[in-house]
Amino acid sequence: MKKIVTDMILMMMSVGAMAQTDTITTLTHQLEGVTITETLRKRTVTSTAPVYLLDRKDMLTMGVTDIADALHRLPGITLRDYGGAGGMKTVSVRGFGAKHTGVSYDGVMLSECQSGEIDLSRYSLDNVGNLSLVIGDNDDIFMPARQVSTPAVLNILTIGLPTEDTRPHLTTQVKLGSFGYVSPFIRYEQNLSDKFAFSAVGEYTYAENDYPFELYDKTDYRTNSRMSTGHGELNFMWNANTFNRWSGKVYYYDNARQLPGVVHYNTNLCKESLHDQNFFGQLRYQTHNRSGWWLEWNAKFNWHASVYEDPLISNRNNDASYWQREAYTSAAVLYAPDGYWAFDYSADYAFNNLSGSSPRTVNTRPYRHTILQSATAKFRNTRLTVLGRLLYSLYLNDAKDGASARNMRRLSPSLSLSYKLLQDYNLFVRASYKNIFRSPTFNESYYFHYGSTDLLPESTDQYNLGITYADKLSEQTTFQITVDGYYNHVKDMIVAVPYNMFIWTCINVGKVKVLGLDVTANSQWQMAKKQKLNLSGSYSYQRAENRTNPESPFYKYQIAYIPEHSGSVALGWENPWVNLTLHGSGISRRWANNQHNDGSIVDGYWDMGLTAWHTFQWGCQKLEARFDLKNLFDSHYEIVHFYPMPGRSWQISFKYLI
Amino acid sequence: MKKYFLSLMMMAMGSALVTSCLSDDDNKNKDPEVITVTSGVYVVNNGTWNQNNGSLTYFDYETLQARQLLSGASGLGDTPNDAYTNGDTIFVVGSTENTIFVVNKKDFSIIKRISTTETMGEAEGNTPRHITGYGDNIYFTTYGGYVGVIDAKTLTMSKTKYQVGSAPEGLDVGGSVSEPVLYVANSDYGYGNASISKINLNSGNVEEIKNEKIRNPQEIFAIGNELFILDWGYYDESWNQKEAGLYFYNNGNVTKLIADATGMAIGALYLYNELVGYQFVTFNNPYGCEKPTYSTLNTYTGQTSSLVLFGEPSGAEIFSPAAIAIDPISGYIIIASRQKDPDTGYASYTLPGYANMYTTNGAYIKNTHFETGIEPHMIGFTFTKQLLQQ
Repeated sequence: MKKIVTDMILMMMSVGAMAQTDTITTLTHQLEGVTITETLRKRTVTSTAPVYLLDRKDMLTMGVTDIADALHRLPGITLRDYGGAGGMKTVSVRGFGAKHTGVSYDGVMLSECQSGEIDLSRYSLDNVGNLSLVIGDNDDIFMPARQVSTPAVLNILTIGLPTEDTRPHLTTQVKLGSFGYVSPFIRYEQNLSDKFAFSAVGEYTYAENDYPFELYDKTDYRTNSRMSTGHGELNFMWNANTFNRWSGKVYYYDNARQLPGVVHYNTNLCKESLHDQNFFGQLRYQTHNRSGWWLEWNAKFNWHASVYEDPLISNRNNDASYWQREAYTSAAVLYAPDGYWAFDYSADYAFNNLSGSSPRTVNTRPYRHTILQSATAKFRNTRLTVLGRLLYSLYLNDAKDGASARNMRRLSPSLSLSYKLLQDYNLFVRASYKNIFRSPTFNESYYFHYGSTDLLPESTDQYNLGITYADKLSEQTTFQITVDGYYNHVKDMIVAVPYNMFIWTCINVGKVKVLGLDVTANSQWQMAKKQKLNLSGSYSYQRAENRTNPESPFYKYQIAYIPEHSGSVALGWENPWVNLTLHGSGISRRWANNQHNDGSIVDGYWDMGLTAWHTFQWGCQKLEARFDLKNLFDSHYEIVHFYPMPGRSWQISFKYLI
Repeated sequence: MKKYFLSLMMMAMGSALVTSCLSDDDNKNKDPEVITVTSGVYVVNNGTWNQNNGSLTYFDYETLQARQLLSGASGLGDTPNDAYTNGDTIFVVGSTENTIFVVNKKDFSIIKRISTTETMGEAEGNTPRHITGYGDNIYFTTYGGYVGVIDAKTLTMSKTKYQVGSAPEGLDVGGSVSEPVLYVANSDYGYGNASISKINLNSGNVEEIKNEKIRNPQEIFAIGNELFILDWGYYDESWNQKEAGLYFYNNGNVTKLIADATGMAIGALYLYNELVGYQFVTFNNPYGCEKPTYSTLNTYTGQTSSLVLFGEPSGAEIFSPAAIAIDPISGYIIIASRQKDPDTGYASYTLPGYANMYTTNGAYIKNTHFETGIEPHMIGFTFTKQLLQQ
């Protein structure tokens, strides 16, 4: 019985907590001698709502080169990529805008109160253990309330602590690539005792990003596209005893980049630049007892500065700096009285504020208190998992120097279930419903002659129905497939409208309905000793329609930048000589606006790549050499209209581990 | 003396009017049976910012059909903003393209693309805004805070450039024949440091005129050294439009002629074939107003009055005026509008606009409703010569 309870508890841990579950797992192994059978991989099949995962092994065997490439491999994702290593990258899921996608970093949500969109270009994969995308509410219940406050969450989980011994471990890597790309990386980690471990990570990336592009009959090169960015992290974990653990992180990121802007036929003059700095520290405490009670407490302080400059504007009138801060804390209590039931109560509090340097930006010094509470009940037996949750959200808005946005409070329900159809086969059906909303961002509420303090929240409903299957087809072959159909509805969508040529504002007006299908499949075939073929792929269909006004000629038109079809495929051959992966991803045509004007079509594309790598090992030392040929067929395409993507390019990396 | 003054005023008029005056001048020594008539109207369309979909719309007076021209990145690109007709060519300002496009007036092909930054410098020639002409020169303002010069005969940039105030917009030539002066409206983006630059085209000297009533000047029309200035004023914290209107500047004094105006057109008033004054038509469309309003000013009588537009086909009424002009030959008023976004109910900056023609008393002229490109921004005219029917 104790084994079952322990299993269940571990299964209920959040995806965020899974980042560092290895230690708990090890601990549990050592102390209680149980076997943990559930893995995060398996959860992609058994979960009550879609979960998609890319771990380090996947990223290598699928030839994933960077965060944007990784996101292209996940279904249902629409990436907005402005091109090149320094180009901003935001992600929207299943037709919801990017502001509806939460991003968590080691189990704690990242904050962006100004624009509401997290720029994922700042996160490199070198220190990432796995990426997972959770859509709706799945059967993880032991997590901060904020983790369930968005329709979808992208979890970035760094390489966990600790290692298996007390030796120092060093990872060094250097990557070189086309267009002046160079990126050194270093990671040091060590268990100082059997209770305390720490790691230090540093990385730097420089890129010119001066790649060629074509515009009609003209070939030109991207200019004003240089980036210079660095990131450092300190992590620790202290297992005080069997039942108590502390862990924490200090993070700093600095990115000075030029902004190349839209390409023009007659000029490439642009001098805009953006300097981002981000610091945060987060602390976590976890404890449990033998009666089935678990407690997790998180605290975080976040500071983000953003400095925009355009020296070409006279008197530097467009220059602006912004500073946003967040103080956040969360407590989650889990009670699992038996092997069937589990209950969670989580309460979060966050304080956000924003200040700006320019009188024509956000100049009223807005701030917000956010209180989120979630109560979750979960039932699980050998075949059925059912989860119900209520989230209560309270947003208290104010501004020091002006009018404040509305206060908002909502009760948001969600329900999801998974049922194993056949006792002896891993064949599951899953269904879920989630209602959630997003509060207007500070830009939408307060930006000078753009924001409106009268805005209502943007509400979303999402329904998912899916079937999943995973099994060994033979001793040599494994196969997994997930198929999910969904229907999403957005109302009171926040849209910027012009009052006249000088003044814009945001209003609640839009309605969107999305009908879609996500399919993932992967198979592995052990074709010979030390030789394996990996085949994986994903496909998404998204019919995201503008349903604002039935009288409009644009009624039911596809929403801007949402492709109807997108997909990816990767075929890898692991062998003792040189491992090879051929991979590709692509999307169908899109429109740059909701009216589908002439000239607004953004063509679809298919981007292929080739990855070759080999790992040399001498005792406890390893050298991993990798070569990537990106955009194999030199396809010229855009993801955002008039922001061309790089053509054929290469990247080589050497990673040394001891 | 009066005759001299009138010819001076003709030379000092705005671009559309100058075209007509130049045309008239051309007729002086020619067969009196040949007259100049307006052959069509063109509209410069900004397009949607950053979408490379600026364009030119040409509405032919003979066929009453509109053609959409020069759209796309390889056409006028991103944000064409103003144009000036000079003989057989139209100089179009490619604001975000840092280019002056020289367009053949007959077939609307691009003859030449003149970079504003190559000769003037990146900072100085950045973002050209408005354009006018005088003599053999074409003058344009840039957000770099300069006025650049193009030789209209060789279609090359001159090394001459004049430093003016912050964020200059409209410009016009006034002064006198012996001492022409280029006046420039420096908006400072409405930040409060606006001014008028006065460039002596003989000496190259630049003076700055400041007045507390000049806050955000956008367009300027010079008669000698008297100026009519369209000023956008400012918006207060509650988004109320303040102090926008048509102003008159004379020898350091500024008076408001029409309150609340954000667009203007100028036409000449003739009495017995003699120029006696000017007709200004303005529109105003501030935040909160349910319907745009129009005003007129007759400088001959000194009267201002409101103008009501009427007679348009259902659904073709002007929703959100974006540009206005007066045909210098016929005196008709052309107004271009943004379309109403059917989803939001507000003006659309992503849908094609449209234009209508009206008589001077506001009556819609049948069959003159035509579609423009996205965000129509400036209206100009083309002319042709015809034999006068006996």
